[in-house]
Amino acid sequence: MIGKYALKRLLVAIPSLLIATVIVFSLSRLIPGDVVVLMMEENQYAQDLEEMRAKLGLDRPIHVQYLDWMSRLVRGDFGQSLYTGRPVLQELLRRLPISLELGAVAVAFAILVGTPIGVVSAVRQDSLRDYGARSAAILGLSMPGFWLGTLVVVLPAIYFGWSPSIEFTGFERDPWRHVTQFLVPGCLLGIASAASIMRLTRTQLLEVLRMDFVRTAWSKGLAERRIVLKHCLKNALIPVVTVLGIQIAQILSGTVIFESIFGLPGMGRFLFDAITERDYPVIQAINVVVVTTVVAVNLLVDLAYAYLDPRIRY
Amino acid sequence: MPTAQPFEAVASAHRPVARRRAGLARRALGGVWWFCRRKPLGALGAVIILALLVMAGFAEWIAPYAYDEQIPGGRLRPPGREFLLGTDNVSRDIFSRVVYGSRVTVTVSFATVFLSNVLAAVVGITSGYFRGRYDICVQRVVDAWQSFPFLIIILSLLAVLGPGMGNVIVSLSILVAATGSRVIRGATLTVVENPYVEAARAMGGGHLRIMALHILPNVAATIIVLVTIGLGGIILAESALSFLGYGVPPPHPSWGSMLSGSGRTYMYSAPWMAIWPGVAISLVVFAFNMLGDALRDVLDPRIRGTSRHGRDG
Repeated sequence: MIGKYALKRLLVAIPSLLIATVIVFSLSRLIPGDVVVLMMEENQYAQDLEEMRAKLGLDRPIHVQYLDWMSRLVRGDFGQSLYTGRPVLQELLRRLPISLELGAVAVAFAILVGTPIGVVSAVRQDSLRDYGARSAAILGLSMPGFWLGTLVVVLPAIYFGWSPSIEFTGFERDPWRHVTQFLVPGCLLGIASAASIMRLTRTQLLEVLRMDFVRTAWSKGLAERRIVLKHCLKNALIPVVTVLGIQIAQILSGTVIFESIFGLPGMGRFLFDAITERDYPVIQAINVVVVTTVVAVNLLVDLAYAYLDPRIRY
Repeated sequence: MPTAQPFEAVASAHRPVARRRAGLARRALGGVWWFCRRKPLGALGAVIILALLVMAGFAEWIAPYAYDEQIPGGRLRPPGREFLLGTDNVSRDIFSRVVYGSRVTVTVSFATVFLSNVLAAVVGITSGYFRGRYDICVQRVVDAWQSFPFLIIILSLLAVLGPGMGNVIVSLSILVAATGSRVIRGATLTVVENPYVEAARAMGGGHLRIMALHILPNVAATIIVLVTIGLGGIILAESALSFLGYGVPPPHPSWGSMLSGSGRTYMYSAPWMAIWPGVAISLVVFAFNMLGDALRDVLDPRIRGTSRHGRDG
């Protein structure tokens, strides 16, 4: 049963991924002609216009270009950076783990903070704690991450003479510092997601708390703790799992900002540098990797969803 | 739609125009009063938004200095009586720059929300109305768009199109429209099932007429909620782009760009440079989120329970 569902879900994901690659591919077609000239003159990516257009793959019919690009992608050839001349894949493999570590801290923070607060907020609906938590959540959704990041770097430096590290430490040089350097940016990155998860947990739990089986549980004389944590939370958390899939995309967006502020040489930083240098093959490759990650995570989340709740079928 | 409404409309048609207008005004005021009492936080949000609009509209009168005016002897002065929010590293008054910066915020966010919702309404309504193969194709494209983390695809788009206000608005709109169209499609799917749609069709109404006159007014509440909730997110996105240097180009101040660039090294000695633009952004986004939540509770109980980044309606 689950196998059939997985297959169906996979078949839906493939066209989305294909359309996404078309979108990424079209990006390079949108480059205005004068920018191509600029790339040649300013960045010295080629000797003449002819060579520049050939490097961007603009010299052949569009469908041939797309099929060629796709077939190389499938074989793991992500092209070469115009700026460094090195294969993009090599650079990506070096940088991807850094972004994933940062993202993992953010997701962990979002779940560990968002869910319990959402539960308390729902169980004590309309209490002072509930109002406090809801206001904090809206505030968390309102504060721009780059501002929080800036404040966290600047303010402690002024008042305590200390600031979080903005220099990258490799794992092999100092494992402890390597791990701890992700804590501050990771938690900041997770704040908005924590707020979303808290709000969703709260509304979902409120709905479940009003269901018949919960009344039955109450009348059986079960303790509140057992009712909420064992009977309700399981049911309430199912949509939260789905939202987590959507949050992954938000968190990947945030890596661009936080890696810039905290000096982490991850994929977000790579993208930002590539954009400054007009390094289009790199921009395309990063987009493909990121979009594949998001589609894959959402696929896994949907499968987990069907596994957790046997009632749900596509 | 309640059945009492047509009767009321007929009855009021016989009243003199002036009295009818006064009645309308009183009813509108009553509605506002009811909203303020039921949703005080939403009303607070509305007041902050009104203040933002006034600030953007009358920046010349409110700001004591021009946004690019370098005040002699006023470099890196802390907030105080002379300079309300202090001055920056090139002797410009930060309060004035925040006031002028609201123009970029208002222009980009309102233009984006307008453009994206027009796009979302066209895509969402046609998709929910025609259904079938067209719907499936459109929804797959929307799926693909939604898989892109917003900042990554917008930065990539701007890398191709070049920075500038117009390009920021267009690329933000396309992205916001994808999520919006999903919600509007959801609302359309339920509206289409109503008997009045069938009646309109039986009376020979064309597709365009049915969509414009019967479906659009009935999904309007959803659109209003989407607009208000969307505005907060758009302001955050615009400020993030400005922060990264891909927003509205200088010398025009925008709240995001005030936090980036050459000024960052001075923030260690002048923290007010780092604080106030961020406070402005947070306050305005907070206001839109509050108002959006309140409006959603009042206007559209259907999309209650979905998050700001939620997919379904």
